Amino acid sequence: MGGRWTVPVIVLLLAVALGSAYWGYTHYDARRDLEIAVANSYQNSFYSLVDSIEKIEVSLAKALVANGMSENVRYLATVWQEAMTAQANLSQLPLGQETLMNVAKFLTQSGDYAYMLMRSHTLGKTLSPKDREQLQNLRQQVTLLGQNLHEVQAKAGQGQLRWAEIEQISRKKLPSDTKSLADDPFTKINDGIEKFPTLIYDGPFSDHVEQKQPKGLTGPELDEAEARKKVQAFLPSSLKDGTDLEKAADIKGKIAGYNYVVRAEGERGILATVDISRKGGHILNMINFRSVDDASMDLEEAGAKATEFLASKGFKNMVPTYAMRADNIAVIPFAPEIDDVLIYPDLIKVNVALDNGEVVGYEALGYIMSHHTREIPKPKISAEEARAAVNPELQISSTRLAIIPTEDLKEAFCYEFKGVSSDNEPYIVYVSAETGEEVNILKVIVNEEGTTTI
Amino acid sequence: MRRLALSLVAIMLAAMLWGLAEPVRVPDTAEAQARPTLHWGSTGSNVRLVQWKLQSWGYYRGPIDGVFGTQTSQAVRRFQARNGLNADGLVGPSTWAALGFGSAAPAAARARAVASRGVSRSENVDLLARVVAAEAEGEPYSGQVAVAATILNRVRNPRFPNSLNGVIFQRHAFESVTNGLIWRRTPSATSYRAARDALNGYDPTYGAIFFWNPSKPVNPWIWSRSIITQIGSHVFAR
Repeated sequence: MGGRWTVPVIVLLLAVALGSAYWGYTHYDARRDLEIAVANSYQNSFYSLVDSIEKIEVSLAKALVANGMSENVRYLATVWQEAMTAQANLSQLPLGQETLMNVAKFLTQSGDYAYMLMRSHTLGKTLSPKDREQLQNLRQQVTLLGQNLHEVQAKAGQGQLRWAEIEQISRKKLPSDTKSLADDPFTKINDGIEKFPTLIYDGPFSDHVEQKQPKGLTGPELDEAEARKKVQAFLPSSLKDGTDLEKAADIKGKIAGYNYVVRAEGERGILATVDISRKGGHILNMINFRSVDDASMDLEEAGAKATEFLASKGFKNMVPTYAMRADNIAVIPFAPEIDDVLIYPDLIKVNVALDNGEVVGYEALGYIMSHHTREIPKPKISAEEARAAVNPELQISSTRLAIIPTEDLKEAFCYEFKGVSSDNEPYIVYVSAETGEEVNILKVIVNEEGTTTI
Repeated sequence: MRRLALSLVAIMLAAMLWGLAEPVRVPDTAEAQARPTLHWGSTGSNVRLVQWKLQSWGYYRGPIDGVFGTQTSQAVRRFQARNGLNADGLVGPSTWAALGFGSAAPAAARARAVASRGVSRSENVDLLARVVAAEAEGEPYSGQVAVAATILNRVRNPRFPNSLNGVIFQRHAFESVTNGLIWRRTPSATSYRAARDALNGYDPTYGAIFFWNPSKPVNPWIWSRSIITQIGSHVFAR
């Protein structure tokens, strides 16, 4: 029992205990501060979201009442802007993936639709009865979403909305049917949104873009043995000798295919991978994993090597459109040229190693998705007439005809004007060869790595 | 008495562990970018970093205020002279390195990405490469490109934010962002190449917007998505 050490030991332990309690408390304090800060930022995002939904609803209502197109443009611009703001705020909230995805899709498509209407207004087209009907429906849906959000906001205003709990519910790794933890007010919102009909329109985020089917997937179905033979024939000699070719996976989805990997004989490490479509046996892509440590040729020589390669695979009339380099590899996209018209949607990208000119990358998804036998149209207006649509300050160095992809995955037949602006910046301007309207402007970036466009 | 002492020790240990259990991690965003060259008149967090380092090594006595003034300039010259560097008072790559801050981004990161997906700036390559490094380390190269491509597919999908940073920093979208791994791992040259290949349009997943490792616990809901393919240890789905 107790000796002369008892008192000092107790004093020491008490001091240490107090010290660590203080240390622990400061940590707890810091953590609580952070938790409050995070909850406040959720609250902020949520209030901004509700605010944007209200503005969308009001602007849609006004757009339906407004008579003039110029006024309508103003309201539709607000719808577009607020829908994007709402989307950004929504993605900051700690909600479940399903709810997030459904609400986000609704907001993106609403904004996208308003933007496309606005664009057609600037080209002088008025709202069709179909557009009006769709806007009316959209307004009802936004109103409904707004009401549901208001209910949640009322809770939030009374401090009853606990973001930490909502976050926990959304992170629970439970199947959706057991997620009936009714505490989550956003489940109801999600259920409402799922019942909304799809917006039908042409825009980069509309459903038809996702549902687009490949046009260039021609030919008979191949079995694995035939596909394998085609892949073997495609491989460059450096990947043919002393290697094993092995089917690694099936590819399902829009394009059904096989994934093959190349290994050094009897080894585990993968040297390259090749994807081939089941229908027609088109090579979709090839990536050679080898690193390229030095460069002994320039982009022009690499371009010649890539052209030669494509010709050997049966692609005629392909011309390099621009080039860039990274890690001693040149990336060169090619497009077919038919009757002096460059067809940009049918893109094949070829990567050339700048040490020995070998093709180390190939990607033909653009080509497979859009290539078909095209009737090359005759331009309805002359190059001089189209030139009138281009800013006169642009000093034009070259003019040609081209078919370009548009935002909504359609195509436009255009004059391509390459030129330099008054402040010496290079641009490419596309003017429709059918209507004479400006379709797109690209800013060209030239640096030591090559030429790219924005 | 012994028992009391033991239980006190146990309580203390518990208290310490409790304190340690939830370390607060703030991403070091300065580390994520290539270091800029600093000179007299520069301001900002990078200057603060230099001042802090010089102060802790005894070269600098002024305030850590993020303003590159005369005092900072003199401290930098002293530090450079002492470390065999050209004493020009500029904090360039060699001085950054001598201060112990290597340029975080390899030279490859400076290459520009092609604007084929509405995502174009070189900073985006850095961010994408970070996610690739954290999410797909040890995967075959095509599996790394696939992870980057999946992220880019989300940018173009109406169900997800319309910017790369929006997609990456969405709450709980990526485990490595939630747990901070993307800020702790430095992307390799391969991660950068994978990010760039994806920005150039390579998509070995043919439009996937989800990927997961089937050997790890995931939300069962995810299995209701339609699976496109498997690359390495990841399943890719729409």
